[in-house]
Amino acid sequence: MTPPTTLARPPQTAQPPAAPARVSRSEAELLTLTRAILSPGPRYLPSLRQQPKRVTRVFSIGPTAMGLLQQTLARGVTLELLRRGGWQTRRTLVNGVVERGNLWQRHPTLPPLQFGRPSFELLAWLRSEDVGAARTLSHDTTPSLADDLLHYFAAAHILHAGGDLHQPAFARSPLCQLAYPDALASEQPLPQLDLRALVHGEGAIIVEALQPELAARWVAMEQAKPEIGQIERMTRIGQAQTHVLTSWFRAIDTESPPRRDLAGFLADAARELLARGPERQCPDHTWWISGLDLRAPLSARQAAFVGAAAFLRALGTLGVWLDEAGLVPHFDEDYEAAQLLLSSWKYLHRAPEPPAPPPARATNQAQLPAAILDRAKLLATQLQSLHSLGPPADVTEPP
Amino acid sequence: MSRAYRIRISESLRRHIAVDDGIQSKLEILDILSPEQTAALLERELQAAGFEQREDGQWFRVDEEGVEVRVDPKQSTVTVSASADRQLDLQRETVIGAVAENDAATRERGRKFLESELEAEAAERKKDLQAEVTAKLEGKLGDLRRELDQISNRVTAEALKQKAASMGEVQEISEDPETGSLTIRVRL
Repeated sequence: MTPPTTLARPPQTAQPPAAPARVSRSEAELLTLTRAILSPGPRYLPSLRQQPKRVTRVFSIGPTAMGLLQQTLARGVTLELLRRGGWQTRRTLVNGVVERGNLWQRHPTLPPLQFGRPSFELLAWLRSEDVGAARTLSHDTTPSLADDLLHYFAAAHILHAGGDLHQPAFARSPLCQLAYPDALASEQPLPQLDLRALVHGEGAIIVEALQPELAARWVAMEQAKPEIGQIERMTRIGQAQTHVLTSWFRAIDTESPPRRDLAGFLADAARELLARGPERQCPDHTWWISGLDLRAPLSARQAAFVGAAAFLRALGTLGVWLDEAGLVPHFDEDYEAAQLLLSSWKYLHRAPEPPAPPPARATNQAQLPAAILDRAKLLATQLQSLHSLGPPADVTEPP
Repeated sequence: MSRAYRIRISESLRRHIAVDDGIQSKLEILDILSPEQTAALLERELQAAGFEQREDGQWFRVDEEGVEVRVDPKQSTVTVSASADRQLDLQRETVIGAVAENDAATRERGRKFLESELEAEAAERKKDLQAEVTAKLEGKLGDLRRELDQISNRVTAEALKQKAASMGEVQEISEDPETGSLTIRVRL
């Protein structure tokens, strides 16, 4: 038996075997784990934390198990992409033209996903390790986009099981960097990745499908900031967020026309966090840093505040893009892309909202501007200004 | 029958420790005039506030407690920093039991124990010094914020007046120091 090099999707006409397939125990565990990872929503998988774990790692599987693994990945990954957001009716750029519909309407012919050795190594590693104290997972071969996607699916389960993602394989995964900068943040800066593969071809299709999930991740990241007590952790998370979003914005603008619609998850997250209304309340700047233990040098404190404002600062780029889109004339070839951005993100510039009762956690709601982008700019400025520093008691002092 | 020995060990640590702290922030000045004109107005206000210009174009002021405030008028950034240093001369002594007069291993263990204690105390002293510097900066920050806000407001007000004068004939200027409001009536 040789380890798999490529797992192609089986033909659609493949018929299930007449008799149940027979596989070894280790192969059965591998297949069960694969099915669990490709199941809806992050749920606790006891097999990821089973003690004692560290069973012998499998390096190859038989042809029957390989066939089943191919089938599981082909069907499971496709289903998960549709379930996690592909079903939503959206408007996106397809070959420079705006298309409306769900994922399979916008892209009637989906390019095949090629799973390679890194996917097999990931599954074998998950089967043999306790993700709370795992040995290193690093790949010798460059992961394909499909491998990257499987790492992304696995990441949610690992975190849900109480494990951590501080592994080279996850740090070097573009999708994991985009979705989990908080979980990947460490003393070492994140590796610089080229994210261009995610803004065209099948990469862009995957990111389109994952927009709602990515938005939810960024909302969760921001909502977790008030719980952070350690100044160093806030600084690292902010640096990781800035790092990945800088790479993402740069990659988006390499396409022609730029696929700025692929940053829509940030706009969605901004609306969720900053829109004020009967149900959504905009916090003031102290909310982001309310959990921090401020007994630290002012320089460290300021670095943490700058980290806390990383997401808010990044929204400024979306504002610049909107301003640029408004200047694109109708005869320009990027006109359609610009109009898509203006219509999709119009809620960022103007927020006609009904008057809301003052929320309990806010102290200076009256000073917040109406538009989401203006709020983000003001909150970031407040977090980074001299007024936020000083003794801990002064932090709540309005500017 | 073996005899117990008591060995007296003393260690000392001499070290120069230096700590610093500082922050950087942007002055909140509206873009009313060109950056060069705004920088010129800011420089005038900084000079009036006791700042001195350096060769690199930055303006600085050091108070009696050693807190340095640096302003870059072109970038509108303000840097506040303070530092301190101290000479440490620590000594520790201990007495340990040994089974032989020349028990080198026990002596070495005792010496290492003392060294680790001295290192821990040096780290603690450095932490205390850092806290002192931070507290000193914090104490200055309140007044400094108010002063920089006033400077920013004066620069903004002067910029508004110059902008109004460039637009037409200024007929009336009224300022309310309490609310900070400025009304300029211009005839176009």
